[in-house]
Amino acid sequence: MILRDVLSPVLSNVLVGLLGSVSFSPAELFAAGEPGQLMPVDPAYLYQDTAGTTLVTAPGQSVALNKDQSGRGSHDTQATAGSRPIYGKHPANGYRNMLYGSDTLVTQNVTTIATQKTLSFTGTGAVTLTGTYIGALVGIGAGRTSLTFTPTAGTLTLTVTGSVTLAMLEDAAAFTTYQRTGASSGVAWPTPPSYDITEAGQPDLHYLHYNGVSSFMVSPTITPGIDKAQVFVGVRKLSDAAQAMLLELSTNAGATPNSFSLQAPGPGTSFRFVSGGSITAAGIADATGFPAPTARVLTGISDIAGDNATLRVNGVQAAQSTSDQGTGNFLAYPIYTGRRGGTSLPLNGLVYSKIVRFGANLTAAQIASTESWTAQRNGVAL
Amino acid sequence: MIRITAAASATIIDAANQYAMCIGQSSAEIDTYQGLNWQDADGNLYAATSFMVSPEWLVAAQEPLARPAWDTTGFVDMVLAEQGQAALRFWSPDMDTPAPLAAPGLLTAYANSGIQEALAAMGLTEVNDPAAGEE
Repeated sequence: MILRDVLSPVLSNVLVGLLGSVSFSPAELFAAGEPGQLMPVDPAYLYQDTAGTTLVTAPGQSVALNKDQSGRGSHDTQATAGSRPIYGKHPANGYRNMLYGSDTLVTQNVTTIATQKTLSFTGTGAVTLTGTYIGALVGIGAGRTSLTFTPTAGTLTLTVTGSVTLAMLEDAAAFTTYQRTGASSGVAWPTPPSYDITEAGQPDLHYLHYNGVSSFMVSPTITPGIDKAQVFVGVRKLSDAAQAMLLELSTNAGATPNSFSLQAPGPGTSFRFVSGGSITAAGIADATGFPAPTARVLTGISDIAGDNATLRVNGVQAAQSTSDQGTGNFLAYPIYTGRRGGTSLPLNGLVYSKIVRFGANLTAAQIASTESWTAQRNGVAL
Repeated sequence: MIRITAAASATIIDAANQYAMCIGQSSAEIDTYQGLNWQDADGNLYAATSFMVSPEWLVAAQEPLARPAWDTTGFVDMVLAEQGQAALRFWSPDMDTPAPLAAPGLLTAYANSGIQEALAAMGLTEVNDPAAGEE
C-alpha cells in the first residue's frame, strides 16, 4: 500500500511523459490555420518532378518537390535540375563508414585528416593504402580483419585486389558494427560518402543534401499576417568555410524589413538567427562555438512587437537579442531554403526536417515537444 | 551516377545556360548558372553548379547539339548553346591530361572530383567572405 502510493505518482509521470512524446504531432502547431511549412524529410512527400507525379523512390535521387504537411500547401520546389537537393538516408546513430560501395569494395580515394582510423573487411582479397598512409591489409576469408593507423591530411587511396567485402573505414581505434554504403555521392567526407547508408538494427534518418554550391528550394509566397514566427530545423552543418543560408523569408532578410533568416553557419563557426520588423534585421542572435561538422536542432523564435529574436540549440537557449525590431507583421514572401534568394550563401549541409510557423508565441511545453520531434529526425540527443 | 561540378565564367553565363537548357529537361535549366559567387586568382567571376548525371547524359552532353524535344517553341537559342558547348573544358580523374583551370570565356567541368575539391582545383575561391557577417 505504501509502496504503491510512493510509486504511483512516479509511474504516472513516466506514462504522461511517454504518452506526451508519443502523441505529439507538429500538425497541432497549425491547427488554427497558421501559415507556414511542416516538412519532415520523408520520401512519401518527395517528388522527382515539380508537378508531383513521380515520387522519389531511392536515395541519390534529386528532389524537385517537397510537399508541405502543414495543410497550407506551401510546398518547396526546385525546377532547375542542377539546383535540386538530393535525398539520402543514414542510420540513426550517424554515419561512420567513409567508403562507398562497401559490400564489394572497389579502388577509391578518401579525403583524410590526421586522426586515427581503422580499416576492416572480410574476404580473401587485399587493400593497399597509398597517399596519406602507406600500408596494406590482407583478408583472412570469412572473418573480419582490421588495420588501425593514423594518416596525414590529404587523399588516401585504397587499391583493391581480389575479393574485399563488407569493408569499413572509420574514425575509431577498433572496428565497430558494419555500416553498408551504396553508390558514391561524389562528395568528400564529412559529407556522407553515399546517399544510401544503413546499419542493422538502426532505423533510417532521412535528409536532403544541400551541396554548398547550387542547391536550394523555394516555397510559394506565404502571407504571415502576424508579427510572430517560430522555426525548427534538424540540420547537420558540414562546413564553416563561408556563411550560409539555412532558410530565409524573402530574398535577403538583411536588407528587407519584416523578414527573418536562419544561418548555418553564421559568422565563424556560429549559427545565426536574424529577425526584423520595420527596423530591418534589428535582432541578431549568434550562437557561437559550433564547429562543423555538427548535427543540431535549431529553434528560432521571433516576435517583432515583443523585440525578441531567440536562437535555441539542442533545446537550450544559446543566444537572444532584445533589440527594438520596430513594428509591423512579417510580410508576404517566399521562404528560400539552402541559398539566399537562390543565388548566394549556399548551404553545405543535411536538412532532416523543417518547420516554419507564423502564429502566436508557443508555450515552453510546445517548444520542447517540437524540438524533441525534430531531434528524433536528425539523431540528436536532447 | 556521376557527380559533375562546373563553373561558368561571367563572360559566357548566357551561353552556358542556353547549353544547359539544350541538354536539360526544361526551360528551367536557364537558371543553372546563377550567382557569381566564385572568383579566380585574378578576380574574374564565375557561377558554379554541382549535380549528379547518368553516364549516358554525360556522353550526350558532348555530342553535336540538337534542339531538345521539350522545346517546341524555339525557346533555346541554339547558336548560344553551341557557344556554351564550345566553351566546355571537361575533365575526369581517369583522363591522362592535366585538370584545366577555370578561365574567362570557359565553362570548366570536372567529373567525380568532389564539389569543393573540384572548385579548388579549378583555382576558384568563394567570393563570400565568412568574416563579412551577412545579416
